[in-house]
Amino acid sequence: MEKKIGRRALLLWRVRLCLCALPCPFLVALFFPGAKIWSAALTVLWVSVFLGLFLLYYPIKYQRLGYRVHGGSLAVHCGVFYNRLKAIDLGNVQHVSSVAGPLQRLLGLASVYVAGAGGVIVLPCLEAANARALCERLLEGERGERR
Amino acid sequence: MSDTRHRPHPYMVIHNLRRFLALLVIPLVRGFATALGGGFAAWLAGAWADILVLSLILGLSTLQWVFCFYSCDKKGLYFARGVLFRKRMFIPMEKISTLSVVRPFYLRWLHVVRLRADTLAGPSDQEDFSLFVGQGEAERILGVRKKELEEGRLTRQYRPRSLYVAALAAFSSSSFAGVFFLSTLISQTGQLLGNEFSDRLYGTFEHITQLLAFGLPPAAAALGYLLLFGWLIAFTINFIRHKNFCLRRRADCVQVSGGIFTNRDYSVSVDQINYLDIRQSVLSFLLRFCSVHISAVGYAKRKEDVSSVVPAVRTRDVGKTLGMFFPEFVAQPRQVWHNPGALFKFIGDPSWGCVLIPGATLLLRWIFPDWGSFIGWVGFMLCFPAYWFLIVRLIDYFSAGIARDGEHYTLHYSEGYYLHTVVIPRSRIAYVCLRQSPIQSLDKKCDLLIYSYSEKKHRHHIRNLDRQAAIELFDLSPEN
Repeated sequence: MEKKIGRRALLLWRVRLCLCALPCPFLVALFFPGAKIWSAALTVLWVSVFLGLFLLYYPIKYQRLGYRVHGGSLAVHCGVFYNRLKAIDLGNVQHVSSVAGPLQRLLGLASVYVAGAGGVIVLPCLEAANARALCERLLEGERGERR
Repeated sequence: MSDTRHRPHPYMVIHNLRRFLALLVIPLVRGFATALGGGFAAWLAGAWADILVLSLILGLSTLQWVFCFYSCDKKGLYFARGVLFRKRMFIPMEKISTLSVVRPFYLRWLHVVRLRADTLAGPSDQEDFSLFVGQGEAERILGVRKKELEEGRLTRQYRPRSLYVAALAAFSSSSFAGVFFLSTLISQTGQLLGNEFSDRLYGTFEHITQLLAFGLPPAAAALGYLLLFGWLIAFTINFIRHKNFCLRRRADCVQVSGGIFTNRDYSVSVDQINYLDIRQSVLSFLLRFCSVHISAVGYAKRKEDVSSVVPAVRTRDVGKTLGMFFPEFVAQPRQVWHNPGALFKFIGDPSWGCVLIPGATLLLRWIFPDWGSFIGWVGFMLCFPAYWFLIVRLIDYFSAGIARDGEHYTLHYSEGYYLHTVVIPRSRIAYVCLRQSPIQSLDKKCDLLIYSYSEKKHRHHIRNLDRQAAIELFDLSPEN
């Protein structure tokens, strides 16, 4: 059964986007004070990028992102433009780390990085308890495979 | 059995000097300052400071050597170095992927060799452990590893004919690598012997090009000869590197050696081999030859290393040769492959070059009619790689796919100008990714990206497979 990430992940991405978008109007006003056409064009550009990400990209990303630990492997389903299914055998997991920034901690989220000997699979913004449980499960699986 | 501590060969003192060369700035700055102010007498009066700095460099380098120790027994390699900051390192023998011995020609008279050990960890562009030791000591360490891996029993040995080594050198040589080597050589020589010397070399090249232009524009002929020279140089370097090639298979270990001026010996543990790669270029495909390479941490890591395990073998004999030396890696014919309609997925990328380069050539000839013959020649030369790439992708279209045999996968695909048949155990796959573009999702196809065990990301890309078949091949179905 595929697990979905919590709804707070979508909230986090949108909050982060808003924080990133905040300086845009100031920068446009600062660098193009008199040029109406330029400032209008740039405003249209950043607003459309903002709306595209806010209303389309992040909801689709949230909708598509899921994972499952099953049959000795971790499978992650993700992708917005491209649909991706990534899978790693638990025996091939080298190490697992869980990372939470200030915003993520505030919302009780954490990202999990699963490192294999040739690449990393990232599971962004899991609920902190789920991230901990997943880390333990992966490490248990890896130890089990080693034994 | 435990080994006593040894010190590396005293040549390490000279090798360590490079760490302290920055200190030479002091006499250099002093020299400039006195040249501007007091002249030779003033410089001579302060020469003691320069001698002091040189002694300091030599002293520090010697101290580094004095405090450097290593030991090697069946448990592993122990290494300690550093005067103020002591570094101790232990590499268990079973974790060593590749142990290699390099005998540079300039050190042969000293009987000094460079011993290198590599594991899955550590930096991806250099070895984890490297020391200069005496020839006898290196053989002893190699012997310890051999004993650990097997009972010393030689099972198979393969020495290819010089023709096959030349074939590998020919297929794997690139004009650009040769041109790069040539230009670096000339500019370095110019720095050493003066710019006049390098100018004379360039002048001679220009003169010869004009003589051998045979009606071509001189600039175009120069470009063509430069590429030809480049290829010849790359070929010579590759040939020298692989001459005297020898592959030995013992119980759990593969030993590869080769080289004329610099001899190289590699000992690779079979269970550390990530995958086996049967490689073909268009030319070798047409001549029905292939070369076999392995991916193991530390093997063929540096660009000057021996890169293959079988330099060239007839396609029909490859199964037999691999059966003798690598029975663990058996290539299977493809079981799952793309649909016939995937042709554009294969020829899409090269088609751009094939259409745009002739188009741009015609356009430029029309804009600059005075340069017509030169632009035509350059355009013609640039078309070659584009059409070559198209041919590679067309062959790939008829051969790409994937097969599974128990816990081993065989991947048939192309990357750049080479066709690959990779045999990889499931345990050496770091992870797999099934990537589906919006167009592919309409007919339920996907690209399969396999990331193999490696110190840095290495990807095998198989195009447009049936998604469900790929899922079943890797047991990724939720029902499993």
